[in-house]
Amino acid sequence: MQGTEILKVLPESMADAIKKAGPDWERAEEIRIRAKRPLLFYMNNEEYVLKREGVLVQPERGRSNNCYITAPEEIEKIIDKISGHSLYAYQDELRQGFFTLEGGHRVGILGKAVTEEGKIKTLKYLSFLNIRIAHEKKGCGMEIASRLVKEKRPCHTLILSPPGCGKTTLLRDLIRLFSDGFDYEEHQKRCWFPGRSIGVVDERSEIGASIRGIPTNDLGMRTDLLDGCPKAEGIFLLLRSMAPEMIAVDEIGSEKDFFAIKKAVNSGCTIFATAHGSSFSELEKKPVFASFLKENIFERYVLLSGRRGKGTVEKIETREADSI
Amino acid sequence: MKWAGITIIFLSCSGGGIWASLILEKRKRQISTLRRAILFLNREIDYRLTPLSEAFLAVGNSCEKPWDSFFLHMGETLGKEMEEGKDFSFLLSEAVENAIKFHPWKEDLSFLKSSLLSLGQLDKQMQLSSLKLLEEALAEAEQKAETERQQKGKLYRTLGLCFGFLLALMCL
Repeated sequence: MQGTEILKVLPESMADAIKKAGPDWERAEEIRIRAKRPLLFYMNNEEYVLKREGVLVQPERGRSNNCYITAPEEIEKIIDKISGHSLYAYQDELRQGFFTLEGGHRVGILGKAVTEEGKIKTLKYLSFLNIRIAHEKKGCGMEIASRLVKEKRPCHTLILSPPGCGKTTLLRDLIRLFSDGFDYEEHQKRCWFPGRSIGVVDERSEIGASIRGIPTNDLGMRTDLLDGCPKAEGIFLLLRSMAPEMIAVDEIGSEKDFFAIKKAVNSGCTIFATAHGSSFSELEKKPVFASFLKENIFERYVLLSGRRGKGTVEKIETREADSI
Repeated sequence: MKWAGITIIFLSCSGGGIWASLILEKRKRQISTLRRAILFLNREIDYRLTPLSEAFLAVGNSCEKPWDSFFLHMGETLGKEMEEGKDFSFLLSEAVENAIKFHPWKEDLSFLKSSLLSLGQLDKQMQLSSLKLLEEALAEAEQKAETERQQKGKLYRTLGLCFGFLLALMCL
């Protein structure tokens, strides 16, 4: 990854300084841009400050000298480029506080909230950006894919992880594997898992990173993707129109999501989902999850962490709480 | 030879009068085409929330000459050239300057440029209000062009014929 998708939305002077600094894009995690503040780059869990002369250095105590300070107009230019000079077409994204770039990179935005009856209508005076750099890691799901299959049937799976630990990246690769099919071992015999038709509800455009409805990430040849749609409505739409064998959704958490998932399961679909959480006990403490977990819908729980890098699989548990 | 020359003079003057009246018709027709294009742009933004570059392309593909080339040019260059750092107002000014070649009535283009410049920076409601104002201005300009065509068109044709007849008589 050369960072071109990100550099092309940045103002020329900022992009030139970053290009000159030559960051390792494969290990880059975030770029934090704040009006009238130094630009910060995060790689391998380390923080770097961009200097004006195009060098990335680890920050000194207090404020570093000669840093690249972002002008407010530069943030306006970034938003203008991201929206293609069509901010009206991105009102939903503004309200939710993020855009998604080509490649699935998420740009969080912050400014002054404009509220109406207690709800955020839009954001203005945008002054803070957080570009979360996405990485398509093909093959990262191979390690666990076989453990999500039982008697040649995929299991309902919930991937659990704290933020930034790779659950979307893992989900993306699992979708690709289950869509294309893969070799695996069961009872010491070599088997072939044939690909299944998968419907993906990609509410934040992070899984597929679609442009004009076509995913730019490889999601497999039997995958249908619904871009930018709320999860519950998306699941119902998929059930009505695409008859998928499997449905994949990212970051479930509301009662509506769970209701839709139950409907999908009752219709015979296998569910792959992700959720925020650092442990199963933490999940059980959330009232919405607790009642859902009692219904024992998920057959596999995959717990991720960042302990040995993003995407570290801590354990995989079955419905009966057995580790496999 | 003399009669041939007189005929040519008469036909030239009459043709000149007819040509002047056709120019007025052309102006009215072009304003009408532009107005329909703006209505189409309005719908692209209202119902599909299409980003500007795609909306301009959609309008360009569906509207008649000569405005199709204006919108297609805007659509094709907007995304590409903004990536290269050029800003929207520069691209729009360039496109409007080029539009003078096929629509030389600058007074019609002045409010086109100012209305289109406000696009993209505002929320959907303001986009639609801005386009509605432009559409109303174009409706007024169309009405004015139609009145001029009715009043002056006939006058130019008559003047052309009379002038041609007078010159023909003088040559006799």
